[in-house]
Amino acid sequence: MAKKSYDFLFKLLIIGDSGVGKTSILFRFSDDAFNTTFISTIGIDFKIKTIELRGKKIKLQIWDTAGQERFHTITTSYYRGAMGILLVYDISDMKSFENVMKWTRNINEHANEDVERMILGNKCDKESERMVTKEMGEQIAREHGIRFMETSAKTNINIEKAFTDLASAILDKTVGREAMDTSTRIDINRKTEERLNRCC
Amino acid sequence: MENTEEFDVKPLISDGQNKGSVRCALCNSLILNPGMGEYRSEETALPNMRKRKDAECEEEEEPLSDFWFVRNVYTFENVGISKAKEGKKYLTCADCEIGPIGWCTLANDDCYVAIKRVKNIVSS
Ligand SMILES: Nc1nc2c(ncn2[C@@H]2O[C@H](COP(=O)(O)OP(=O)(O)OP(=O)(O)O)[C@@H](O)[C@H]2O)c(=O)[nH]1
Ligand SMILES: [Mg+2]
Ligand SMILES: [Zn+2]
Repeated sequence: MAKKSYDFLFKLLIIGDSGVGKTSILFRFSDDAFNTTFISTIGIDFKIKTIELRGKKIKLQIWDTAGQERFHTITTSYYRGAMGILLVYDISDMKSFENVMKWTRNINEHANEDVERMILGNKCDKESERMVTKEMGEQIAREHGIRFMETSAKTNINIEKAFTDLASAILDKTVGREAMDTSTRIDINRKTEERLNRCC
Repeated sequence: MENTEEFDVKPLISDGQNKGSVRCALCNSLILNPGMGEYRSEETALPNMRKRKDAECEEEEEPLSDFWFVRNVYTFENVGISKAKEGKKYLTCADCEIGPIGWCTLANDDCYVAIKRVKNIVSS
């Protein structure tokens, strides 16, 4: 069997209104210089990014949801397998902030109960066009018990941190669960070893 | 990006695998660690990596013959997977999205990275 090149694989979803910058968050901004015709026409399904956290190598599989999708069309199948969700609004667009409530309800209805969530107030570089204060973002996050930060995909503020913090929260949960399963796991390991010994 | 002169892949291969790491030719993002791809010589044409500005040439394809075969998408350090088109998905750089740098099957398992379209770092 091929050797596994990582310790954990976490599936993450980016959701939020159209135009808030979901796709941009997954893209290292650079004057649009490399945007190739072919790829931008067919679109990207997901990305794999690798990070290291506490000595563990973690692969993030990140799904960007398409712009036209609205909360009422995003249902259970969309959220299937997602362990983390980044819910994005645009600090210069009040409507996108108001819709955070609707997105949250949609997540509660359709996503896995213990999915890790994080709200991102994106485009924080657009200070002069700001409509949503940072306090408003913090407030709504607190009400829902969700992590929050402001980001800028354009000037690369908090983008790495958003992914690392979300992954870190999932890692805590996963490792906690594994520790609880240790007793059964040891049993399984032993059986596997026996089987291996027999066949070799 | 299209470089028509013959290039020698032998120095890039060790034990049938990629000797050095594979990086994006444009932004240097780490795509594949050493030894994670298997050399495969196959004739496959991929759409050009043209910029949006040169849209007239969008349908052009380039024949390619040297690939790193990677068993599934999770083997990559960083990569983007396009939506399906005519039974194929295409690989891009995860950071700058240049591509296609290769292709993969619909089930995201067999992946082929075009050796000519990436930077192969072999330290001497
Ligand atoms: N100033 C600024 N502009 C941004 C930022 N992030 C994204 N944008 C711009 O906002 C516009 C929309 O960004 P997208 O990433 O396409 O938004 P999206 O959420 O993917 O939109 P849909 O795919 O339609 O759902 C683009 O013009 C981006 O350049 C940011 O942090 N700051
Ligand atoms: Mg988008
Ligand atoms: Zn790149």
